[in-house]
Amino acid sequence: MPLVLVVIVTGCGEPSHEYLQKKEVGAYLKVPSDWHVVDEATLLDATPNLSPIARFEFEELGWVVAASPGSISAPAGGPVDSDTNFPLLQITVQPLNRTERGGVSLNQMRSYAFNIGSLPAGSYELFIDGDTPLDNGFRAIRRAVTLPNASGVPITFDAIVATDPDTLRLYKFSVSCTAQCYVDNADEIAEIFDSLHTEEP
Amino acid sequence: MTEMQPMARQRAGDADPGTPPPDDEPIGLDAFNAALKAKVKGTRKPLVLWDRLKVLLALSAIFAFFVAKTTDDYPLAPVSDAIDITASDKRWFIWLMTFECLRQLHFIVCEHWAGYHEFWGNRIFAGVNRRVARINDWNRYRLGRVMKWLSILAVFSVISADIQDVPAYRGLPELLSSIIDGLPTIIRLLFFVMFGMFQFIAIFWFLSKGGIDTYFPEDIKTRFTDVWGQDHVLDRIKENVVFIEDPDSIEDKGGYVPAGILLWGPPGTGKTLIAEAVAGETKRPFVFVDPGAFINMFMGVGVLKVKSLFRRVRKLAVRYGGVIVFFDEADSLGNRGMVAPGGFNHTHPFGPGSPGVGPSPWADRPLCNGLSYLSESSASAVWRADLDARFRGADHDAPPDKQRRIMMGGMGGGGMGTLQSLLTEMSGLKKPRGFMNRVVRRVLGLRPKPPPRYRLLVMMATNMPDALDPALLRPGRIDRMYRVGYPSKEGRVRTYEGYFSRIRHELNDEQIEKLAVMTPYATGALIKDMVNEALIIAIRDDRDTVCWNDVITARHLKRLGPSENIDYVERERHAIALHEACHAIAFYRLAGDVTIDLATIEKGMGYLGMVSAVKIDEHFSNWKSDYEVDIMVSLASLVGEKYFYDGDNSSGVSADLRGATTIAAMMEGYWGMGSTISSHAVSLEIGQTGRPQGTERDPLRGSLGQRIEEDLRALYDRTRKLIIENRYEILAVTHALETHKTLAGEDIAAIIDGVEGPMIDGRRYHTDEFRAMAEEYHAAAVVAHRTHGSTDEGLPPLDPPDLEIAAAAVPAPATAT
Repeated sequence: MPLVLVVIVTGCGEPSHEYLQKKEVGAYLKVPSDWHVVDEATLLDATPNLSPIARFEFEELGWVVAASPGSISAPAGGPVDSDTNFPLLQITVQPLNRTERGGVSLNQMRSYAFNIGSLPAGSYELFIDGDTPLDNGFRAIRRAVTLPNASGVPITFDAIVATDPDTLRLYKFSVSCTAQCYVDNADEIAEIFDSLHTEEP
Repeated sequence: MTEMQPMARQRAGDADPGTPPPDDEPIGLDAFNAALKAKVKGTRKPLVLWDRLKVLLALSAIFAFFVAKTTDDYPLAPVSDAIDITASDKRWFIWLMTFECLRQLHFIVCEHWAGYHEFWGNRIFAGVNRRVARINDWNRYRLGRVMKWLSILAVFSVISADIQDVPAYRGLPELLSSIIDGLPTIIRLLFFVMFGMFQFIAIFWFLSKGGIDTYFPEDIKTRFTDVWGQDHVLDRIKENVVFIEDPDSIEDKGGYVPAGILLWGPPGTGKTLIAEAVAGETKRPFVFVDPGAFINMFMGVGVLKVKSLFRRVRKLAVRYGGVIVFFDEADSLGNRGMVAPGGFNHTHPFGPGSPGVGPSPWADRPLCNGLSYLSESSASAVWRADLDARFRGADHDAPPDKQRRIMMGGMGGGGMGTLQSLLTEMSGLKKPRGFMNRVVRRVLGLRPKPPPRYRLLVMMATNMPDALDPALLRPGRIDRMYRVGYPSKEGRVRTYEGYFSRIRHELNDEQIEKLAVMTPYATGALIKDMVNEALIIAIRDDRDTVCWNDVITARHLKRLGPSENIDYVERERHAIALHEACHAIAFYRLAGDVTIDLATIEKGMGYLGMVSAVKIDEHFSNWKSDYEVDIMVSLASLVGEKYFYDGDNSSGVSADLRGATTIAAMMEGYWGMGSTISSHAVSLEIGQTGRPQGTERDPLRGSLGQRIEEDLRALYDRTRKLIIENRYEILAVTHALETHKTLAGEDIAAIIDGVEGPMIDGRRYHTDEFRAMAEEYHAAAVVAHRTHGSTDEGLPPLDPPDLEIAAAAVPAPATAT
């Protein structure tokens, strides 16, 4: 009886984290439970010019989701709208077509994370750029860049890009917010990236 | 929530003992006392702990399953988060558990507060309780089963739905769909499993098939008229036949058809024939169970055989309206712990110790065959004493009861559950049969149909009824036990006539009757064998007609077995002949109701010579005087050897002395025929001998031993007097034995009485010339014995020689075979 009561009482609580995962692509990570999540359906709805077939394929083989502790929304036809003073987590998993499979280089992955080739030297600060270990044979790089936006406010982009061992999908887990916000929430962001778990679906 | 009144529940439980008790029915004395106390206080009957917790435990187990699944779905989530996620996803389940907790709290209050219980039981749920109480027990039981199954299906549905991420109501259809999808795989797996099982099943199926033969009515030609000499048993058996043919004649009157018959008695007395005749007369199938059918290499095969046998028997019983199952040599089924059968064969037709029965148990070296001239009772006592001594030999220090345990337990065949299975089948014929009937109907909540009334007659035959398990013999399994004993004289005459009618012979009615008198314990099988042996002798002599001499020769051959055809040295031959002549004379002079069958000095299996006897009349009790005669006949050899050899004697008397001492000990210690009254058996049991219970190892050294010695001494003196008085008769029989080696009882009597016998003219042994010649020859033999030499002239022949018939009638058995 006491055991049952414990279960009942425990059952009234809330989980400590929000778990973002999609088994079909083998990606799992967790964010604090007070973060707001924009789910895949909402984001796909907001994506312009997405045919039903493409949408179906993406739902089956890819994944897109966004989360932030601050206000966040997905306006139709535009990117995710959020308060840059709060970290914005975006996860995109896209299937690779037949020509791309097996041919994704680390440089390509770095460019996909953040392409700094076209930026003038000195206009950005690249403070993380290298390989990062992931589970189950996934290849991954991590690149973090700070550069000013149009308003001159320095924005930090921190992204992990990975491919599965068979190079069937390209994974991108990115966090962005103002440089100050990034520093303030460094622990939380580190915890999110640390929780990242990948496996072949 | 329904609540049944305690009293109503109690009534429900009492009404149908076959109905499973309600789930919350406490079991045991404590629970009963608690219920009684609750009834007095007016509170609810307390629930036992299991009943209080079982629903909660079931819900907890299901919740644990959900949590485990959440953990699997969310690899990053710790258990606490998994519980939270599960609880958050399945609020309804938390509500269900809360509800069950409240229900149990309600029960706890009801168990302690009469007013609260009264309020809920008699006001809130009064109507429901009344309706439930009106349902009869069987319907309530079925309703309970339906509810139970619905609950189980609901649980399955919920779990299935959770696994497959579908709504709960689609859980079962989805589960079914998954099963159907996986059917090919399931079938493939089942095939592999079945293939493995099939190999075992096939092996055991083949192993369980042997040893049981079925004969159908048209195959059985045996009738009651084919059974000779067992009329008293047949009369009883015919009663059973009437009942199995017309069971209504007894069942309408409230009785039942006796379903089991045990035929017991000596081997060869026609037990199997009687069983066949029953099958032939009733025109029912006859299932013959081989004695070795249940002796198996593998454990469990015997059980399978029993089940297979009774399955077949039930089918035949239904198809033919009855069936007879015959277990031949039923002692092979063994028992579950009784003393194992001793090989006590003193009831052999030609007496104990006969060829074919086995040598005297203590005959480590050939001696005089001491058992052959004793009465049945004496021989029995000597046998048992000897067996006992032999088994004690393994452990002299163990008390007698423990020593006997060498023979305890599970002896015989069967074993490994076979007998138990047989017992169950024999008493389990009223159980419902068939998978559909027993299982499917019960699953559907229907009562199984009773089986048809099987007309089954189990017959068993054994010559060792003591070896059968008592449970096998209880009424209901074996209702009637008949002793198929040795045929009466009339029966033997009829049997002889029956077998002689099948061959050409010269015997007249008088000779056949005489033959029946000469073979008092002859069974049908033995008579058949003897007649056949006589025919073989005739054929060997190029004749196709059996004459009297052929029959007598065959009888001697069967009685003694083939001789070892050894020629003794002269002085030993004389000593052996004298030894046997002393037995014969003592026997002839003393035994009243028994006559000498024959005497021989031809060395056989385990003996140098022997004198055997046959009863004149059948009697079933023995008196002190009978036993004294047995002892005196036993002692005659010792007395004779000492008397004729001037105090010397051979070791050949050891068996005679052992027999005499054993009988004397039994008389003095057990049979109330001694100088004291108390029983030595009781003294041993209760330790009045001054020794611990059962530890007296050598009673012959105590007071009992002294009394036995005194008794033997007195009988020895009487025997000595008898031997001295019959000196010439002994020398005459000795001479005849040395001459002919084997003598028939009638001829021995003729020699002793000096009259003409069937083979030998006894008058010629009663002349002065013979006496002088016999004395002279004996004196020469004694001298030869002392000097280890030989007599000068050898055995002096009688002049004129014996009747010609003697030589023809008593040939050496060894040459006959």
